[in-house]
Amino acid sequence: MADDLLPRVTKPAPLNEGFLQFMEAAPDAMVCVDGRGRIVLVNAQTERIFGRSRNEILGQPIEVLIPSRYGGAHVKHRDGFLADPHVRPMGLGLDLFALHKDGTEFPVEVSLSPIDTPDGPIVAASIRDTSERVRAERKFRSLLDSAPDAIVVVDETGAMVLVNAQAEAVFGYSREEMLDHKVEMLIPERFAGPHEGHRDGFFRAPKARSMGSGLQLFARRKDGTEFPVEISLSPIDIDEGRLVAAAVRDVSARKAAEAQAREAEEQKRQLEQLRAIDEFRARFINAAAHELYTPLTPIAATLKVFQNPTLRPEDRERAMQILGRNFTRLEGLVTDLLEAARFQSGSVNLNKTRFDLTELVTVAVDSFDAAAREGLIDMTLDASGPLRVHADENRINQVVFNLLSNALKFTAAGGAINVRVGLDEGVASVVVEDDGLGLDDEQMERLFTPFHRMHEGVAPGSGLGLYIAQGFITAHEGRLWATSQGPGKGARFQFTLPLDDA
Amino acid sequence: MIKILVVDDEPDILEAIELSWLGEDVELLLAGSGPAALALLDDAPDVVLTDFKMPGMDGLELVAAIHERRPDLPAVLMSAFPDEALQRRGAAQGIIDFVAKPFLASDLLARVRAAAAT
Repeated sequence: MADDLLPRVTKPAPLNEGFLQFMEAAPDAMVCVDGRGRIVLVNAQTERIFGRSRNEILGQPIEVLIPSRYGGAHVKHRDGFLADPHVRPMGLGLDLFALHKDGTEFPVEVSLSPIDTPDGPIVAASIRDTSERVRAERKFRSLLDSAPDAIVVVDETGAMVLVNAQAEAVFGYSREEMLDHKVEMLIPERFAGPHEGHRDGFFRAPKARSMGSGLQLFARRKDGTEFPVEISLSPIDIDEGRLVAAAVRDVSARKAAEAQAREAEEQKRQLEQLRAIDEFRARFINAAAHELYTPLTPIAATLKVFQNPTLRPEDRERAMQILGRNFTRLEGLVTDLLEAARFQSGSVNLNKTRFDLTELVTVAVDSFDAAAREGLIDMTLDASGPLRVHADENRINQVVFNLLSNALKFTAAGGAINVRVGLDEGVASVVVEDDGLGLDDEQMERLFTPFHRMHEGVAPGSGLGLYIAQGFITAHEGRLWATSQGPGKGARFQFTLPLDDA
Repeated sequence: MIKILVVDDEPDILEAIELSWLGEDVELLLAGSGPAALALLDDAPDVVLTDFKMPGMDGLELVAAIHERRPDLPAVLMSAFPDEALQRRGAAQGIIDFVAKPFLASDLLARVRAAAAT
């Protein structure tokens, strides 16, 4: 309001007619107060929002329009303003309230203008009833606060301009600690730098979307702890520019539940595994007992033979041979059971040395040569150069013997056994292939199962040979497997061992 | 003199039984499998003593096949584990006695004789 609009007037401040009309029509309440704080002029809007007629107010101290608890202070502020009058809003940063005639209070914004008159300065106060706006703000605020997520609204500089109650709860900062600060205070330091760049990018090309899709996002609390979050972003365009609202969801509980579910699943799996091992053990012990009874039965039956006083020497000799054979079988079985127990419990002690696998296989094949010839079986060996491995020589030897003796057992006269030792895709490989009895699908499946005899009655064994062989090779980080074209079409056993890398 | 048909897939068990019964008043017919035992039925055994667990035809199957031709031939079953389930199945098939392996040869003969007398 410029001074030249204001003619020099006398009381009660008869201002110029145009000004009075302008004032009367103003959308805000206009109240003019003289140097002593008395109301000298009001407009229609004043009557409306304060619920008082002009006559009731004129000549009264301005404090009649103010809640009594502010009245005393107001007198001092009023004097202060008059000492240094200039146009300004009143009560900067404070919530101001006015008093209605009925005693209710309502929120207002007030701006003050000093006006000089011949009778001294008067002050024109423009008073706006902000109840509607405050109500709308409160509604918006309670809407924000009722949102399940922490909501943080950020301006283009990255400063937080609005936060809700959840944001206070989730981040541990009060509203005041967050407002006007960079949003990066809510982000772990290692992500804060990149975030500023991402934020600028979003402001340039904003569209509602979730943040860091496919990434696990983390937020930081006031106490420095981090927690996993999901964030969705929405641009808000307002008169003053563009804002971005970020809805931040603390997903710790969900992540913890997921982790718990995974753990429960894992425990269940382990339990099932343990059950399977337990079941296997029970079956193993049962089968082992059967196998032990088999040689024990002829031994027990033979004992009585020696009580026969008329026993002929040749029958005594037959009885001795039964005892000898079955003791040997029992001993072999017990040895195999111990070996099996060792690698079942993972306590197999490998006595590793460096040796030439080709040489080991060559010697083994030689030692079966006589037996093969006797059985009219054509046994051949294909070997290239030396193959250095770092392994338990005795046990590898045992595996080779097992495969060779199996091949010999299950190959009929006139058949052939071919042994190959060499490099296969970077590992040492031994193949024992025969054209003997072969295996059907069911036999293939149970080939390495303990006590499962491939060709029952054909040749006795502990029923543990292949099971133990596979255990040894596995303990060496190698593989042992078999293939067959089917019954009568022979079988092919192969094992591999890592090469000596020293 | 009774004639006993003994069936087991373990040759050493057959031989041990044979040796331990030397001098007893028995005649033995020895078979290493079910089919081999069936082939000896014409020799008119008085009782059959068979192992249960044998490849191909097991002891119960053998006794069933025998009873088709000799319904009254008493049978004794040998098994390392003559549990209740096996005994129930065997009894339903008319098996008279069950002998647990390993056994002492003299007990075995007494039980086979008792079975033959039924």
